[in-house]
Amino acid sequence: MTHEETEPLVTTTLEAEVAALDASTISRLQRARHAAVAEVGPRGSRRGFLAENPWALPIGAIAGFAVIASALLVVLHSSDSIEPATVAYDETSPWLEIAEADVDLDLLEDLEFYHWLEIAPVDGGSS
Amino acid sequence: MKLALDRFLANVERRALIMAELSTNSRDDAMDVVQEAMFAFARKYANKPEEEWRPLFYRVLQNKMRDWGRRTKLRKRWRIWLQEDASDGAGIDPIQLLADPRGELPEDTLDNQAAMRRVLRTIKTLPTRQREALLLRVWEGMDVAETAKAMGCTSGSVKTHLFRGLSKLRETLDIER
Repeated sequence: MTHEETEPLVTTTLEAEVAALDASTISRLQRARHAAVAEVGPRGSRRGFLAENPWALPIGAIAGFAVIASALLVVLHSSDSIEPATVAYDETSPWLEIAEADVDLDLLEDLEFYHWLEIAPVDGGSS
Repeated sequence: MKLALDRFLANVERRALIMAELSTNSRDDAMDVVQEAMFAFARKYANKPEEEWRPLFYRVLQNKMRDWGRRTKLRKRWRIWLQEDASDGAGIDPIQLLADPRGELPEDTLDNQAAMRRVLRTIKTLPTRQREALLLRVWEGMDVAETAKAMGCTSGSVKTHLFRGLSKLRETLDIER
């Protein structure tokens, strides 16, 4: 048997199966079909907008990019115009006085100790 | 559009049912698969040009059959896991599920019937892709490009699947003669 002989046998067999379908099965198929066709209503037409207007998708995409690009430009432009942050300058600050004076840095690090030393009672080394 | 869709589905529904039945071995399951395919097709592709409907419908049908296969496998696993009787339906000869022969059968018709049953049995045993290619190309009469679209593969794959399917079918029929 060749492929050419096999093909008609397949077709005949399957067509016989279709022809042998009972009325109940055919009726169920029809009901299923009618229900499926009924599904295509307002939803179908809404979905059809892009299908009927294929230009809408690229135009929408371009518009979207334009909006994003404009927003980025505005943000970048406004960030350029921001002035550098300024530090509050308090002329009365004691730290400024220390920083300006010629003070030993070791002293600054142990400032707490020296502060204690200053206020601690002097007992002449009797303890 | 509804009229055209109804006409199209009426044209393919019976063949779709037989195709699904060859995969599922069950008329009821096949009916469910076809119904799901019709709904999905109507929802998603009714707005496509009519000349694209046929491959798209069969693509949806193949997907639904695969979904059915996955669900069935999963259900079987659960049954085994729950130690239920997993033999439900497994012992049924698929041939028994086919439609009854019609009318009175002379001897030559009996031979034809036997040959047809052999063909059906062999088609059922083909690997899924080979069966899909065979049914869509040979029975549905779709060209290679349409079949490739319906199967979601290349034209070369369609030719390969079809050749292997036909070869296996031919070999089996030759042996059983």
